[in-house]
Parts: sequence; C-alpha cells; structure tokens
Amino acid sequence: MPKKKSRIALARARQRRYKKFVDRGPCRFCKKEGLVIEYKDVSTLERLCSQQGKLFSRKRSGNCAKHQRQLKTAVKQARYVGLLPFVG
Amino acid sequence: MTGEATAPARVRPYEGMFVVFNKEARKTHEYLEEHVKGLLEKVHAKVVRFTKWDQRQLAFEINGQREGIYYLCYFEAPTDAIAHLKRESELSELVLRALILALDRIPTEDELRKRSSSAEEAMREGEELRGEGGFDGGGRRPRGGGGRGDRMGGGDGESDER
Repeated sequence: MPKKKSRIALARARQRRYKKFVDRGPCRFCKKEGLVIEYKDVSTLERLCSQQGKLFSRKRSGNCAKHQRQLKTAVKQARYVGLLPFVG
Repeated sequence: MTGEATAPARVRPYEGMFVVFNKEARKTHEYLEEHVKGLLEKVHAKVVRFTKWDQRQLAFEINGQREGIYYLCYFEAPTDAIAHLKRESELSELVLRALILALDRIPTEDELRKRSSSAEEAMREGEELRGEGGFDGGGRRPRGGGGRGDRMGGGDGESDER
C-alpha cells in the first residue's frame, strides 16, 4: 500500500507548484534593452502564437504585461497585412 | 466666424507597409514600386527610405490573391495627408493592404538591424515554452461532466446560462 503523504509534504508540494508561476525572473524581452516588438518579426510572433493563430497567455509565454501588450498590437498589425492568419 | 486661416498641419514621420500584387504578371516589379511612390507623391509625402521588404505567400487570401509583394517605406508627411493616402490606397487596384504607423523619429539602418536581431536573440535566450501545453495546463484538462457545467454551482445569482 502506498505511503500516504503528510500534511506538511502536501503543503510544500503546493508551494512548489505555486512558485513555478511566480519566481521566474524578468521576461525574455525585458532582458534586452531598447527592444521593440514589431509586426515585421514574423518568426518571433509565430513562436508566441498557437497553431490556431491565437496569442499565448502571459502565464504560458512568461512575458511581462508591457511586452504582452506590445506583442498583442504587433500580432494584430501582422494579421492586417496578411503576415499572420486571423484563424489558423 | 472671424475667417482666420487655419495653421498648417504638423509634419511627422511615418512608416508605411504596402502590400501589392503583380497584377500584370510582369517579371520586373518596377511599375509596382513606381505606383506606390506615386501614391506617396500624390499626398505630398517626402520619402526618406523605400525598400522592397519581402515577397511572400499571404497567410490568407486578400482580394483573391495568395501572394503579395511588401514595400516598406519611411516618409514624412503632414498629418492630414494620411487619411488621403489611406483612401488612395484603398481605391488602388494594385494595393491589397496598406498599414501606416506614426513614428517618433525615423530609425536608422543600424537601429533596424539591431532591433530585429535582438528580438530573435531574446527568443533564443528566453526560456523555452513549457512542454506541449505550457503553463496553461498541458493539453486538454479532463472536464468532469463536460462543457461549462462544471463551472456552475458556485455562483450565487450570477449564472452562465442565458
């Protein structure tokens, strides 16, 4: 019979799971100074979109709010000029 | 009304991306370039830089076209000319789409090169997206009962049902 986890062990496991989302350091774009996310960087935008053409959440991509906003605008502009699909 | 003359519109820098298609199926695309430049001249824009950015497959059909030629240009124009430019582009048979963005200043060649390379580097250096489904929960989550039913019950007064 498998050993039952103690209450403390369960709490630590929960803490670890929570930490995964919180302690991740700066976002990938924050590390580069003076970086501007543009609609012309199609490869970058594609990597941050799902196969359906939807932008990944902040939680998933690890972006900060500022860069997620820039990314959102860039994706919308890229869609308008036919660089990215509206629906994948 | 005093009949005072209105102040001339402010001139500011812009970036324009014009998606055109090779309507006449000619081998050279000079006529397309001239057409786009003509549109800019029509609204008295001062072209600072004009380049053929790319020729690529469109992500979706636009006006029945699957391929487009992208012209990127940086220009200075009075603010009231942009509406005219957009209208001219819409009326033009060659231009599929025109995206015009206002800038603070026109970037130099070096800045443009640095920008694109730093974005690529950031993606390379940045941590990889987690697994298949990433942090969002990795693929499909089993949903007890299916659909939106499992959301209900907790709401007091606020129901998902319409």
